Amino acid sequence: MRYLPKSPSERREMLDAIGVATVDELFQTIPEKFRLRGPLNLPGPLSEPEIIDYFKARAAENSSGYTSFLGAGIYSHLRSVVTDALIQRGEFLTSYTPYQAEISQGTLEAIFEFQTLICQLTGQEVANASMYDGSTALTEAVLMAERLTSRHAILIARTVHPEYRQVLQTYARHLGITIREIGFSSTGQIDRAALAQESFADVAAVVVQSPNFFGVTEEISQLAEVAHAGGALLVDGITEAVSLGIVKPPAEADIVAMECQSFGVAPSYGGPHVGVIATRDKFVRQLPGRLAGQAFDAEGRRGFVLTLATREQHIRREKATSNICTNEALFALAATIHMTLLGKQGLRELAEQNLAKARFARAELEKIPGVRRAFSGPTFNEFVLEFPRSVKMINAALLRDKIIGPLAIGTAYPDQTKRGLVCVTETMPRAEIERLASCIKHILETPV
Amino acid sequence: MSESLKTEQDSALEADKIKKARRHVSQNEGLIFEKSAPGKRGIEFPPLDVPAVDAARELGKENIRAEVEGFPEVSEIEVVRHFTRLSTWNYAIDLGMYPLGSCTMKYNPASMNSSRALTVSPPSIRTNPSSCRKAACES
Repeated sequence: MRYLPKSPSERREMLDAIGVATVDELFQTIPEKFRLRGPLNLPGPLSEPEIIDYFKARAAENSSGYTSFLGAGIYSHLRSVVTDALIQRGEFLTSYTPYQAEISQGTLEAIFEFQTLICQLTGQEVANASMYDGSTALTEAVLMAERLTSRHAILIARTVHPEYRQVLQTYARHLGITIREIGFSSTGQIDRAALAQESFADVAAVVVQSPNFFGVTEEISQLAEVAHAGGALLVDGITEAVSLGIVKPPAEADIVAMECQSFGVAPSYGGPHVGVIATRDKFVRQLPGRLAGQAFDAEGRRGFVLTLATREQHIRREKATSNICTNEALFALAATIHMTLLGKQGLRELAEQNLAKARFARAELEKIPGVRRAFSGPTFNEFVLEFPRSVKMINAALLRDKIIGPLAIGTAYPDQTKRGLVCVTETMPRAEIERLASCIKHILETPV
Repeated sequence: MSESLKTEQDSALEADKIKKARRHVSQNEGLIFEKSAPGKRGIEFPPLDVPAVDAARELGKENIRAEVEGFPEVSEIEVVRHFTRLSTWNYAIDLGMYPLGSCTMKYNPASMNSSRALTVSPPSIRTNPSSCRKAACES
Protein backbone atom coordinates (compact mmCIF):
# COMPACT_ATOMS: atom_id res chain seq x y z
CA MET A 1 0.00 0.00 0.00
CA ARG A 2 2.90 2.25 0.69
CA TYR A 3 3.53 3.37 -2.88
CA LEU A 4 -0.07 3.14 -4.05
CA PRO A 5 -1.83 6.43 -3.45
CA LYS A 6 -5.44 5.18 -3.19
CA SER A 7 -7.23 3.17 -0.51
CA PRO A 8 -9.81 0.42 -1.35
CA SER A 9 -12.70 2.77 -0.58
CA GLU A 10 -11.24 5.51 -2.76
CA ARG A 11 -10.84 2.97 -5.59
CA ARG A 12 -14.43 1.84 -5.13
CA GLU A 13 -15.56 5.44 -5.40
CA MET A 14 -13.60 5.92 -8.64
CA LEU A 15 -14.89 2.67 -10.17
CA ASP A 16 -18.47 3.64 -9.29
CA ALA A 17 -17.96 7.05 -10.89
CA ILE A 18 -17.03 5.48 -14.24
CA GLY A 19 -19.50 2.62 -13.93
CA VAL A 20 -17.05 -0.27 -13.76
CA ALA A 21 -17.47 -3.08 -11.27
CA THR A 22 -13.85 -4.14 -10.75
CA VAL A 23 -10.35 -3.01 -11.66
CA ASP A 24 -10.01 -6.28 -13.57
CA GLU A 25 -12.75 -5.17 -15.96
CA LEU A 26 -10.47 -2.39 -17.17
CA PHE A 27 -8.15 -5.01 -18.63
CA GLN A 28 -10.71 -7.22 -20.34
CA THR A 29 -9.70 -6.12 -23.86
CA ILE A 30 -6.45 -8.05 -23.33
CA PRO A 31 -6.95 -11.64 -24.62
CA GLU A 32 -7.18 -14.12 -21.78
CA LYS A 33 -4.07 -16.06 -22.86
CA PHE A 34 -1.95 -12.95 -22.37
CA ARG A 35 -3.32 -12.08 -18.94
CA LEU A 36 -1.12 -12.64 -15.92
CA ARG A 37 -3.17 -14.58 -13.40
CA GLY A 38 -0.68 -15.33 -10.66
CA PRO A 39 1.99 -13.42 -8.82
CA LEU A 40 5.31 -12.84 -10.58
CA ASN A 41 7.99 -15.41 -9.83
CA LEU A 42 10.02 -13.04 -7.69
CA PRO A 43 11.21 -13.10 -4.09
CA GLY A 44 8.91 -11.32 -1.67
CA PRO A 45 8.99 -7.52 -1.27
CA LEU A 46 11.53 -5.95 1.06
CA SER A 47 10.98 -3.13 3.51
CA GLU A 48 12.95 0.08 3.20
CA PRO A 49 15.64 -0.78 5.80
CA GLU A 50 16.10 -4.20 4.16
CA ILE A 51 16.49 -2.60 0.72
CA ILE A 52 19.03 -0.11 2.03
CA ASP A 53 20.98 -2.84 3.83
CA TYR A 54 21.00 -4.91 0.64
CA PHE A 55 22.43 -2.09 -1.46
CA LYS A 56 24.90 -1.08 1.24
CA ALA A 57 26.21 -4.64 1.26
CA ARG A 58 26.50 -4.63 -2.55
CA ALA A 59 28.25 -1.24 -2.51
CA ALA A 60 30.69 -2.57 0.09
CA GLU A 61 31.78 -5.22 -2.44
CA ASN A 62 33.35 -2.43 -4.51
CA SER A 63 37.06 -1.98 -4.02
CA SER A 64 38.04 1.16 -2.20
CA GLY A 65 41.17 3.05 -1.28
CA TYR A 66 42.69 2.94 -4.77
CA THR A 67 44.44 5.90 -6.37
CA SER A 68 43.52 6.15 -10.03
CA PHE A 69 45.45 7.80 -12.84
CA LEU A 70 42.77 7.05 -15.39
CA GLY A 71 41.11 9.70 -17.50
CA ALA A 72 40.54 8.97 -21.19
CA GLY A 73 37.13 10.57 -21.44
CA ILE A 74 35.92 10.45 -17.86
CA TYR A 75 37.60 12.63 -15.27
CA SER A 76 37.80 12.79 -11.53
CA HIS A 77 37.19 16.38 -10.46
CA LEU A 78 36.14 18.09 -7.26
CA ARG A 79 32.43 18.69 -6.99
CA SER A 80 30.60 21.00 -4.61
CA VAL A 81 27.97 19.50 -2.31
CA VAL A 82 25.86 22.50 -3.36
CA THR A 83 25.41 20.94 -6.82
CA ASP A 84 24.25 17.60 -5.45
CA ALA A 85 21.92 19.25 -2.94
CA LEU A 86 20.28 21.50 -5.55
CA ILE A 87 19.72 18.83 -8.21
CA GLN A 88 18.09 16.63 -5.55
CA ARG A 89 15.26 19.15 -5.11
CA GLY A 90 12.09 17.30 -6.06
CA GLU A 91 10.97 20.12 -8.34
CA PHE A 92 14.02 19.47 -10.52
CA LEU A 93 14.46 15.74 -9.92
CA THR A 94 10.85 14.73 -10.61
CA SER A 95 9.80 17.24 -13.25
CA TYR A 96 8.87 16.15 -16.75
CA THR A 97 10.55 17.23 -19.96
CA PRO A 98 9.65 20.92 -20.46
CA TYR A 99 7.02 20.62 -23.21
CA GLN A 100 4.65 22.92 -21.37
CA ALA A 101 6.47 26.18 -20.80
CA GLU A 102 3.97 27.50 -18.24
CA ILE A 103 4.87 24.76 -15.75
CA SER A 104 8.54 24.36 -16.67
CA GLN A 105 10.06 27.82 -16.35
CA GLY A 106 12.65 26.59 -13.85
CA THR A 107 14.06 23.92 -16.16
CA LEU A 108 13.82 26.13 -19.24
CA GLU A 109 15.66 29.06 -17.67
CA ALA A 110 18.37 26.69 -16.37
CA ILE A 111 18.74 25.16 -19.86
CA PHE A 112 18.97 28.65 -21.35
CA GLU A 113 21.80 29.40 -18.90
CA PHE A 114 23.48 26.08 -19.75
CA GLN A 115 23.42 26.89 -23.48
CA THR A 116 24.82 30.36 -22.80
CA LEU A 117 27.67 29.03 -20.65
CA ILE A 118 28.54 26.44 -23.33
CA CYS A 119 28.71 29.16 -26.01
CA GLN A 120 30.98 31.26 -23.80
CA LEU A 121 33.23 28.26 -23.16
CA THR A 122 33.47 26.97 -26.72
CA GLY A 123 33.50 30.27 -28.60
CA GLN A 124 30.52 29.07 -30.63
CA GLU A 125 27.32 30.99 -31.33
CA VAL A 126 24.63 28.50 -30.38
CA ALA A 127 24.47 25.38 -28.19
CA ASN A 128 21.63 22.93 -27.69
CA ALA A 129 19.99 21.77 -24.47
CA SER A 130 22.44 18.81 -24.20
CA MET A 131 22.96 15.33 -25.65
CA TYR A 132 23.32 11.88 -24.07
CA ASP A 133 27.09 12.07 -23.85
CA GLY A 134 30.22 13.16 -25.69
CA SER A 135 30.32 10.16 -28.02
CA THR A 136 26.75 10.52 -29.29
CA ALA A 137 27.25 14.30 -29.51
CA LEU A 138 30.27 13.74 -31.78
CA THR A 139 28.28 11.32 -33.93
CA GLU A 140 25.36 13.72 -34.17
CA ALA A 141 27.83 16.45 -35.17
CA VAL A 142 28.98 14.24 -38.05
CA LEU A 143 25.37 13.61 -39.12
CA MET A 144 24.81 17.38 -39.00
CA ALA A 145 27.82 17.95 -41.24
CA GLU A 146 26.50 15.34 -43.68
CA ARG A 147 23.14 17.13 -43.88
CA LEU A 148 24.75 20.56 -44.21
CA THR A 149 27.14 19.61 -47.01
CA SER A 150 25.18 16.81 -48.74
CA ARG A 151 28.48 14.92 -48.81
CA HIS A 152 28.90 11.42 -47.42
CA ALA A 153 32.52 10.79 -46.44
CA ILE A 154 34.19 11.60 -43.13
CA LEU A 155 37.89 12.04 -42.39
CA ILE A 156 38.44 11.30 -38.73
CA ALA A 157 41.71 11.47 -36.82
CA ARG A 158 42.89 8.31 -35.10
CA THR A 159 43.63 10.62 -32.17
CA VAL A 160 39.86 10.84 -31.54
CA HIS A 161 38.76 8.69 -28.59
CA PRO A 162 38.60 5.08 -29.88
CA GLU A 163 35.20 4.49 -28.27
CA TYR A 164 33.78 7.68 -29.80
CA ARG A 165 34.95 6.36 -33.18
CA GLN A 166 33.17 3.06 -32.48
CA VAL A 167 29.91 4.88 -31.72
CA LEU A 168 30.31 6.79 -34.99
CA GLN A 169 30.99 3.54 -36.88
CA THR A 170 27.83 2.01 -35.43
CA TYR A 171 25.70 4.90 -36.67
CA ALA A 172 27.50 5.22 -40.00
CA ARG A 173 27.22 1.54 -40.94
CA HIS A 174 23.64 1.78 -42.14
CA LEU A 175 23.60 5.42 -43.19
CA GLY A 176 25.86 5.15 -46.20
CA ILE A 177 28.58 7.24 -44.58
CA THR A 178 32.16 6.31 -45.48
CA ILE A 179 34.70 6.81 -42.72
CA ARG A 180 38.38 7.26 -43.51
CA GLU A 181 40.83 7.42 -40.61
CA ILE A 182 43.88 9.69 -40.59
CA GLY A 183 46.91 8.67 -38.55
CA PHE A 184 49.03 10.76 -36.21
CA SER A 185 52.50 12.24 -36.25
CA SER A 186 55.30 12.27 -33.67
CA THR A 187 53.66 15.28 -31.98
CA GLY A 188 50.66 13.08 -31.16
CA GLN A 189 48.52 15.30 -33.39
CA ILE A 190 46.65 14.39 -36.57
CA ASP A 191 49.09 13.68 -39.42
CA ARG A 192 48.74 16.87 -41.45
CA ALA A 193 50.72 15.49 -44.40
CA ALA A 194 48.43 12.47 -44.63
CA LEU A 195 45.40 14.73 -44.35
CA ALA A 196 46.71 16.90 -47.21
CA GLN A 197 46.96 13.85 -49.46
CA GLU A 198 43.30 12.93 -49.03
CA SER A 199 40.79 13.70 -51.73
CA PHE A 200 38.15 16.03 -50.32
CA ALA A 201 35.70 15.41 -53.15
CA ASP A 202 32.88 13.87 -51.06
CA VAL A 203 34.14 14.85 -47.60
CA ALA A 204 31.49 16.34 -45.30
CA ALA A 205 33.75 16.86 -42.32
CA VAL A 206 37.20 16.54 -40.87
CA VAL A 207 36.73 15.26 -37.31
CA VAL A 208 39.33 15.82 -34.62
CA GLN A 209 39.42 15.94 -30.83
CA SER A 210 41.28 18.55 -28.78
CA PRO A 211 42.82 17.85 -26.37
CA ASN A 212 42.85 14.53 -28.19
CA PHE A 213 42.91 10.97 -26.85
CA PHE A 214 46.68 11.30 -26.22
CA GLY A 215 46.05 14.51 -24.26
CA VAL A 216 47.61 16.62 -27.00
CA THR A 217 45.91 19.80 -28.26
CA GLU A 218 45.25 19.93 -32.01
CA GLU A 219 45.82 23.05 -34.10
CA ILE A 220 42.17 23.89 -34.65
CA SER A 221 42.50 27.08 -36.69
CA GLN A 222 44.90 25.49 -39.17
CA LEU A 223 42.79 22.34 -39.43
CA ALA A 224 39.71 24.51 -40.05
CA GLU A 225 41.52 26.13 -42.98
CA VAL A 226 42.37 22.73 -44.45
CA ALA A 227 38.80 21.47 -44.04
CA HIS A 228 37.24 24.63 -45.46
CA ALA A 229 39.62 24.67 -48.44
CA GLY A 230 38.26 21.21 -49.28
CA GLY A 231 34.66 22.35 -48.87
CA ALA A 232 34.27 20.33 -45.67
CA LEU A 233 33.34 21.35 -42.13
CA LEU A 234 35.60 20.94 -39.10
CA VAL A 235 34.11 19.02 -36.17
CA ASP A 236 35.98 19.24 -32.87
CA GLY A 237 35.26 16.81 -30.07
CA ILE A 238 36.23 17.65 -26.49
CA THR A 239 36.21 15.04 -23.73
CA GLU A 240 37.83 17.21 -21.03
CA ALA A 241 35.70 20.33 -20.69
CA VAL A 242 37.96 21.76 -17.95
CA SER A 243 40.65 22.29 -20.60
CA LEU A 244 38.54 25.20 -21.91
CA GLY A 245 39.46 27.15 -18.78
CA ILE A 246 42.89 27.70 -20.31
CA VAL A 247 43.06 26.21 -23.82
CA LYS A 248 41.98 28.49 -26.67
CA PRO A 249 38.33 27.78 -27.53
CA PRO A 250 37.72 26.04 -30.89
CA ALA A 251 35.96 29.08 -32.37
CA GLU A 252 37.12 28.22 -35.91
CA ALA A 253 35.54 24.76 -35.77
CA ASP A 254 32.09 24.55 -37.35
CA ILE A 255 30.64 22.15 -34.81
CA VAL A 256 31.92 21.41 -31.32
CA ALA A 257 30.83 18.17 -29.64
CA MET A 258 31.73 17.94 -25.97
CA GLU A 259 31.37 15.73 -22.91
CA CYS A 260 30.53 17.91 -19.90
CA GLN A 261 30.96 15.28 -17.14
CA SER A 262 33.94 17.19 -15.76
CA PHE A 263 31.59 19.92 -14.57
CA GLY A 264 29.90 18.60 -11.45
CA VAL A 265 28.94 15.10 -12.62
CA ALA A 266 30.43 12.08 -10.84
CA PRO A 267 32.23 9.47 -12.98
CA SER A 268 29.53 6.95 -11.86
CA TYR A 269 31.04 3.87 -13.52
CA GLY A 270 30.91 5.51 -16.93
CA GLY A 271 27.52 7.18 -17.04
CA PRO A 272 25.02 8.65 -17.37
CA HIS A 273 26.83 11.83 -18.34
CA VAL A 274 26.05 14.91 -20.35
CA GLY A 275 26.92 15.74 -23.94
CA VAL A 276 26.90 19.06 -25.71
CA ILE A 277 26.73 20.31 -29.28
CA ALA A 278 27.60 23.89 -30.13
CA THR A 279 27.80 25.41 -33.59
CA ARG A 280 27.42 28.49 -35.75
CA ASP A 281 24.14 30.39 -35.81
CA LYS A 282 23.68 29.70 -39.51
CA PHE A 283 23.62 25.93 -38.84
CA VAL A 284 20.97 26.11 -36.11
CA ARG A 285 18.23 24.45 -38.18
CA GLN A 286 20.34 21.30 -38.43
CA LEU A 287 21.10 21.20 -34.70
CA PRO A 288 19.76 17.93 -33.22
CA GLY A 289 17.79 17.78 -30.01
CA ARG A 290 16.24 20.95 -28.72
CA LEU A 291 16.97 24.54 -27.95
CA ALA A 292 15.57 26.74 -25.17
CA GLY A 293 15.17 30.41 -25.94
CA GLN A 294 14.12 33.64 -24.30
CA ALA A 295 10.66 34.92 -25.19
CA PHE A 296 8.14 37.49 -23.98
CA ASP A 297 4.47 37.00 -23.13
CA ALA A 298 1.55 39.18 -24.25
CA GLU A 299 2.28 41.59 -21.40
CA GLY A 300 5.95 41.88 -22.31
CA ARG A 301 7.23 39.75 -19.41
CA ARG A 302 10.27 37.59 -20.01
CA GLY A 303 9.94 33.84 -20.09
CA PHE A 304 11.71 30.82 -21.57
CA VAL A 305 10.39 28.36 -24.15
CA LEU A 306 11.55 25.55 -26.41
CA THR A 307 12.25 27.56 -29.54
CA LEU A 308 13.48 24.73 -31.71
CA ALA A 309 12.86 21.03 -31.40
CA THR A 310 13.31 19.21 -34.67
CA ARG A 311 12.95 15.79 -33.09
CA GLU A 312 10.94 12.84 -34.29
CA GLN A 313 8.22 13.55 -31.72
CA HIS A 314 7.67 17.02 -33.14
CA ILE A 315 8.03 16.74 -36.89
CA ARG A 316 7.94 14.09 -39.63
CA ARG A 317 10.47 11.36 -39.05
CA GLU A 318 12.34 11.86 -42.33
CA LYS A 319 12.59 15.59 -41.63
CA ALA A 320 13.76 15.16 -38.05
CA THR A 321 17.37 16.03 -37.29
CA SER A 322 17.81 13.28 -34.74
CA ASN A 323 16.19 10.35 -33.07
CA ILE A 324 17.85 11.37 -29.82
CA CYS A 325 14.65 11.99 -27.98
CA THR A 326 15.72 13.32 -24.65
CA ASN A 327 18.23 15.68 -23.20
CA GLU A 328 20.20 15.10 -20.04
CA ALA A 329 18.35 17.89 -18.28
CA LEU A 330 19.29 16.98 -14.71
CA PHE A 331 22.99 16.64 -15.48
CA ALA A 332 22.91 19.69 -17.71
CA LEU A 333 21.54 21.44 -14.61
CA ALA A 334 24.37 19.97 -12.50
CA ALA A 335 26.91 21.24 -15.04
CA THR A 336 25.23 24.66 -15.06
CA ILE A 337 25.33 24.90 -11.26
CA HIS A 338 28.96 23.75 -11.18
CA MET A 339 30.07 26.21 -13.89
CA THR A 340 28.21 28.97 -12.06
CA LEU A 341 29.92 28.09 -8.77
CA LEU A 342 33.32 28.04 -10.48
CA GLY A 343 32.79 31.34 -12.24
CA LYS A 344 35.44 33.10 -14.26
CA GLN A 345 38.18 32.88 -11.61
CA GLY A 346 37.40 29.40 -10.33
CA LEU A 347 37.46 27.89 -13.82
CA ARG A 348 40.81 29.50 -14.56
CA GLU A 349 42.31 28.30 -11.29
CA LEU A 350 40.90 24.80 -11.85
CA ALA A 351 42.47 24.60 -15.31
CA GLU A 352 45.79 25.96 -14.02
CA GLN A 353 45.86 23.41 -11.19
CA ASN A 354 45.25 20.57 -13.65
CA LEU A 355 48.02 21.81 -15.91
CA ALA A 356 50.48 22.21 -13.01
CA LYS A 357 49.71 18.80 -11.47
CA ALA A 358 50.01 17.02 -14.81
CA ARG A 359 53.32 18.79 -15.53
CA PHE A 360 54.66 17.81 -12.12
CA ALA A 361 53.62 14.19 -12.66
CA ARG A 362 55.12 14.07 -16.14
CA ALA A 363 58.44 15.44 -14.87
CA GLU A 364 58.51 12.98 -11.95
CA LEU A 365 57.78 10.01 -14.22
CA GLU A 366 60.27 11.10 -16.89
CA LYS A 367 63.01 10.92 -14.26
CA ILE A 368 62.61 7.13 -14.18
CA PRO A 369 65.24 5.45 -16.38
CA GLY A 370 63.68 4.11 -19.59
CA VAL A 371 60.48 6.16 -19.27
CA ARG A 372 59.95 8.91 -21.82
CA ARG A 373 57.23 11.04 -23.36
CA ALA A 374 55.67 9.37 -26.38
CA PHE A 375 54.60 12.56 -28.16
CA SER A 376 56.06 16.05 -28.36
CA GLY A 377 52.85 18.09 -28.75
CA PRO A 378 51.42 20.35 -26.01
CA THR A 379 49.27 18.56 -23.42
CA PHE A 380 46.75 19.60 -20.76
CA ASN A 381 46.04 17.12 -17.92
CA GLU A 382 46.76 13.87 -19.77
CA PHE A 383 49.89 12.63 -21.49
CA VAL A 384 51.22 9.41 -23.02
CA LEU A 385 54.43 7.85 -21.72
CA GLU A 386 56.48 5.09 -23.25
CA PHE A 387 57.74 2.45 -20.84
CA PRO A 388 60.47 -0.16 -21.30
CA ARG A 389 57.91 -2.90 -20.47
CA SER A 390 54.32 -3.62 -21.34
CA VAL A 391 51.93 -1.24 -19.60
CA LYS A 392 49.63 -4.11 -18.66
CA MET A 393 52.47 -5.77 -16.78
CA ILE A 394 53.35 -2.58 -14.93
CA ASN A 395 49.69 -2.03 -14.06
CA ALA A 396 49.30 -5.52 -12.65
CA ALA A 397 52.18 -4.78 -10.27
CA LEU A 398 50.83 -1.31 -9.41
CA LEU A 399 47.49 -2.79 -8.37
CA ARG A 400 49.24 -4.52 -5.48
CA ASP A 401 50.15 -1.05 -4.24
CA LYS A 402 46.53 0.04 -4.68
CA ILE A 403 47.37 2.19 -7.66
CA ILE A 404 45.34 2.07 -10.87
CA GLY A 405 48.07 3.00 -13.31
CA PRO A 406 48.25 4.48 -16.82
CA LEU A 407 45.65 3.35 -19.35
CA ALA A 408 47.25 0.77 -21.66
CA ILE A 409 46.52 2.35 -25.04
CA GLY A 410 47.67 -0.83 -26.80
CA THR A 411 44.10 -2.09 -26.46
CA ALA A 412 43.00 0.46 -29.04
CA TYR A 413 46.36 0.97 -30.81
CA PRO A 414 47.85 -2.55 -31.12
CA ASP A 415 51.34 -1.30 -32.04
CA GLN A 416 51.59 0.72 -28.81
CA THR A 417 51.64 -1.89 -26.04
CA LYS A 418 54.40 -0.09 -24.16
CA ARG A 419 52.55 3.21 -24.08
CA GLY A 420 50.25 4.36 -21.30
CA LEU A 421 47.95 7.36 -20.93
CA VAL A 422 48.30 9.12 -17.57
CA CYS A 423 45.68 11.54 -16.25
CA VAL A 424 46.35 13.87 -13.32
CA THR A 425 43.68 16.30 -12.14
CA GLU A 426 43.40 18.73 -9.23
CA THR A 427 42.16 15.87 -7.02
CA MET A 428 45.54 14.12 -7.03
CA PRO A 429 47.78 15.00 -4.06
CA ARG A 430 51.48 15.49 -4.73
CA ALA A 431 52.34 12.61 -2.38
CA GLU A 432 50.31 10.19 -4.51
CA ILE A 433 52.05 11.36 -7.69
CA GLU A 434 55.39 10.74 -5.98
CA ARG A 435 54.20 7.33 -4.82
CA LEU A 436 53.23 6.40 -8.40
CA ALA A 437 56.70 7.42 -9.61
CA SER A 438 58.53 5.48 -6.88
CA CYS A 439 56.36 2.39 -7.40
CA ILE A 440 56.93 2.38 -11.18
CA LYS A 441 60.67 2.90 -10.62
CA HIS A 442 60.70 -0.05 -8.25
CA ILE A 443 58.71 -2.25 -10.66
CA LEU A 444 61.07 -1.46 -13.55
CA GLU A 445 64.13 -2.20 -11.40
CA THR A 446 62.78 -5.62 -10.50
CA PRO A 447 63.97 -8.29 -12.95
CA VAL A 448 61.18 -9.90 -14.94
CA MET B 1 -10.06 28.47 -12.82
CA SER B 2 -10.02 31.82 -14.59
CA GLU B 3 -10.72 35.06 -12.74
CA SER B 4 -14.07 35.64 -14.43
CA LEU B 5 -15.46 32.25 -13.39
CA LYS B 6 -14.83 32.78 -9.71
CA THR B 7 -17.93 33.11 -7.63
CA GLU B 8 -18.20 35.40 -4.61
CA GLN B 9 -18.03 32.33 -2.43
CA ASP B 10 -14.75 31.26 -4.05
CA SER B 11 -13.28 34.70 -3.42
CA ALA B 12 -14.30 34.54 0.21
CA LEU B 13 -12.68 31.11 0.57
CA GLU B 14 -9.55 32.38 -1.15
CA ALA B 15 -9.31 35.27 1.30
CA ASP B 16 -9.47 32.85 4.23
CA LYS B 17 -6.44 30.90 3.11
CA ILE B 18 -3.12 31.56 4.74
CA LYS B 19 -0.67 32.92 2.20
CA LYS B 20 2.61 31.18 1.47
CA ALA B 21 5.81 32.78 2.67
CA ARG B 22 6.63 33.63 -0.90
CA ARG B 23 4.49 33.21 -3.96
CA HIS B 24 5.88 32.75 -7.40
CA VAL B 25 3.10 33.83 -9.65
CA SER B 26 5.23 35.32 -12.38
CA GLN B 27 8.58 34.77 -13.96
CA ASN B 28 10.77 37.21 -12.12
CA GLU B 29 14.02 35.41 -11.35
CA GLY B 30 16.70 37.06 -13.45
CA LEU B 31 19.42 35.13 -15.24
CA ILE B 32 22.46 34.20 -13.15
CA PHE B 33 24.58 36.40 -15.43
CA GLU B 34 22.61 39.41 -14.20
CA LYS B 35 23.84 38.82 -10.62
CA SER B 36 27.48 38.68 -11.64
CA ALA B 37 30.03 41.11 -10.22
CA PRO B 38 33.81 40.93 -10.65
CA GLY B 39 35.71 38.99 -7.99
CA LYS B 40 32.94 36.72 -6.68
CA ARG B 41 33.09 32.92 -6.83
CA GLY B 42 31.21 30.03 -5.28
CA ILE B 43 33.87 27.36 -4.96
CA GLU B 44 37.39 27.20 -3.59
CA PHE B 45 40.12 24.65 -4.10
CA PRO B 46 42.81 23.39 -1.76
CA PRO B 47 46.05 25.30 -2.40
CA LEU B 48 48.21 23.90 -5.20
CA ASP B 49 50.80 21.51 -3.69
CA VAL B 50 53.10 21.40 -6.74
CA PRO B 51 54.94 24.29 -8.45
CA ALA B 52 52.70 26.54 -10.57
CA VAL B 53 53.52 26.56 -14.27
CA ASP B 54 53.45 29.20 -17.00
CA ALA B 55 50.55 28.16 -19.22
CA ALA B 56 51.77 30.19 -22.21
CA ARG B 57 55.12 28.42 -22.08
CA GLU B 58 53.63 24.96 -21.54
CA LEU B 59 50.90 25.10 -24.17
CA GLY B 60 52.22 27.78 -26.50
CA LYS B 61 51.05 31.38 -26.41
CA GLU B 62 48.81 30.83 -29.45
CA ASN B 63 47.05 27.90 -27.77
CA ILE B 64 45.84 29.60 -24.60
CA ARG B 65 42.84 31.78 -24.02
CA ALA B 66 42.11 34.90 -22.01
CA GLU B 67 39.39 34.64 -19.35
CA VAL B 68 36.04 33.20 -20.42
CA GLU B 69 34.13 36.27 -21.56
CA GLY B 70 30.73 36.55 -19.87
CA PHE B 71 31.22 33.68 -17.41
CA PRO B 72 29.32 34.58 -14.23
CA GLU B 73 30.98 35.65 -10.99
CA VAL B 74 28.65 34.91 -8.09
CA SER B 75 28.90 33.68 -4.51
CA GLU B 76 27.67 30.33 -3.17
CA ILE B 77 24.53 31.68 -1.51
CA GLU B 78 23.58 33.50 -4.73
CA VAL B 79 23.88 30.22 -6.61
CA VAL B 80 21.79 28.39 -3.97
CA ARG B 81 19.07 31.06 -4.01
CA HIS B 82 18.97 31.35 -7.78
CA PHE B 83 18.51 27.65 -8.44
CA THR B 84 16.20 27.12 -5.47
CA ARG B 85 13.95 29.90 -6.81
CA LEU B 86 14.09 28.43 -10.31
CA SER B 87 13.01 25.06 -8.92
CA THR B 88 9.80 26.61 -7.57
CA TRP B 89 8.70 27.40 -11.13
CA ASN B 90 8.64 23.76 -12.09
CA TYR B 91 5.72 21.43 -11.80
CA ALA B 92 6.86 17.96 -10.74
CA ILE B 93 5.71 14.53 -9.61
CA ASP B 94 6.56 15.55 -6.05
CA LEU B 95 3.97 18.33 -6.41
CA GLY B 96 1.19 16.44 -8.13
CA MET B 97 0.09 13.92 -10.75
CA TYR B 98 1.34 14.18 -14.33
CA PRO B 99 -1.12 13.30 -17.10
CA LEU B 100 1.76 13.45 -19.63
CA GLY B 101 4.72 11.14 -20.03
CA SER B 102 2.98 8.08 -18.60
CA CYS B 103 6.07 6.04 -19.50
CA THR B 104 8.40 7.87 -17.14
CA MET B 105 6.47 10.12 -14.83
CA LYS B 106 5.82 7.79 -11.93
CA TYR B 107 6.82 8.03 -8.32
CA ASN B 108 10.23 6.57 -7.61
CA PRO B 109 10.54 5.62 -3.94
CA ALA B 110 13.00 7.87 -2.11
CA SER B 111 14.87 4.80 -0.85
CA MET B 112 15.82 3.92 -4.45
CA ASN B 113 17.34 7.35 -4.91
CA SER B 114 19.30 7.03 -1.69
CA SER B 115 20.54 3.54 -2.66
CA ARG B 116 21.66 4.77 -6.05
CA ALA B 117 23.71 7.48 -4.34
CA LEU B 118 25.77 4.77 -2.62
CA THR B 119 27.62 4.22 -5.88
CA VAL B 120 28.61 7.87 -6.28
CA SER B 121 31.79 8.75 -4.49
CA PRO B 122 31.57 11.93 -2.43
CA PRO B 123 33.35 14.96 -3.85
CA SER B 124 36.58 14.81 -1.90
CA ILE B 125 40.28 14.94 -2.49
CA ARG B 126 42.38 11.84 -1.83
CA THR B 127 44.28 12.55 1.34
CA ASN B 128 45.31 9.13 2.57
CA PRO B 129 48.58 8.18 0.93
CA SER B 130 49.52 5.85 3.75
CA SER B 131 53.16 5.42 4.59
CA CYS B 132 52.77 1.66 4.98
CA ARG B 133 51.65 1.32 1.39
CA LYS B 134 54.61 3.39 0.29
CA ALA B 135 56.87 1.14 2.32
CA ALA B 136 55.26 -1.87 0.68
CA CYS B 137 56.08 -0.68 -2.81
CA GLU B 138 59.64 0.18 -1.97
CA SER B 139 60.38 -3.02 -0.12
